[in-house]
Amino acid sequence: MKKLILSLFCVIFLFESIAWAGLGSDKTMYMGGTVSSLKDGTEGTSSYKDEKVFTFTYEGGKFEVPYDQINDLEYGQKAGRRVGVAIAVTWMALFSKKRRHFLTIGYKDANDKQQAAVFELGKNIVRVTLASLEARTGRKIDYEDDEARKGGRGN
Amino acid sequence: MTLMKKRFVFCAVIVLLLSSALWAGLGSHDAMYVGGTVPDLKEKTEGKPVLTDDKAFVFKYKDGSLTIPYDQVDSLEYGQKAGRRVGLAVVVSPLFLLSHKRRHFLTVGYTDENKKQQAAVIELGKDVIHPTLTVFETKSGKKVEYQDDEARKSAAEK
Repeated sequence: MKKLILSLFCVIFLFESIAWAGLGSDKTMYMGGTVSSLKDGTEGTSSYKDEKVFTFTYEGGKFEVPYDQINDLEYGQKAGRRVGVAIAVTWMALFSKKRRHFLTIGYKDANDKQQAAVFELGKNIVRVTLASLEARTGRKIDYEDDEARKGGRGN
Repeated sequence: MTLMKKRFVFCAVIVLLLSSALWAGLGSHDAMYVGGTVPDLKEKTEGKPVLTDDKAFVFKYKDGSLTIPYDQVDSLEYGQKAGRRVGLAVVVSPLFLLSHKRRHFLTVGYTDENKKQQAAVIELGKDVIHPTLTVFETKSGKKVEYQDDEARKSAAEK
């Protein structure tokens, strides 16, 4: 009986961690774009600490965009239900929504060619990243819609 | 104490420890520098907002203070983040999914002494929201831009 309960707990915890799996709340992922040096789905961390360049650091490298070359900043969201958690933990999780946050940076590269990079931002760094990019570039974020505007300011 | 009792006490202690950790948050009179472009100030630094200075907003933390002169402020944005108490729901009861936890953020845009644009995102404890927003508006002469009507209403109530 004890073994049965123990293995049940193990299964629940295993499923739970899988169900929660996603981008870390302080992480950034390069989703795609025209940057040839970056593979789609590359995870890393982004930084706006440098006064001159926005930096995305990933395992094995670093991608930088000078703020004065950025000519477009867009922010959007994608909302979905927590189906994984609902299956593994409790059906009540279906009442809550999981949001993904996307930042698109348009910029001119060293050869003066227009480039675009789409990043997914972890939920804890959305507001800070957007505010810092606005301050560093002097450009306003273009919000996809009112819901995104609300989300970008509320995170 | 019997083995059964010991186990019960052990379990109770674990649950209490976990739940207190999950409840942990910013104190209602405190503030936290969440992040931004302020040099030499670490993200997630906790401290106290000081609203008594006539010329500047001061964020006092353990090892120093951040001073933002009101006449250098060029934008003020207030937003909220409402989340479900998912941690408590998993550890204590699924009913916690029905309750909301709110966090309050003020983004201050200003120019520093080198005339460079800076941004600071500050999380406010629930009891200092209204005074902080009022003082910023009054002393900077700038209007707070609210994320939405709910944020406006919530800030007015605090």
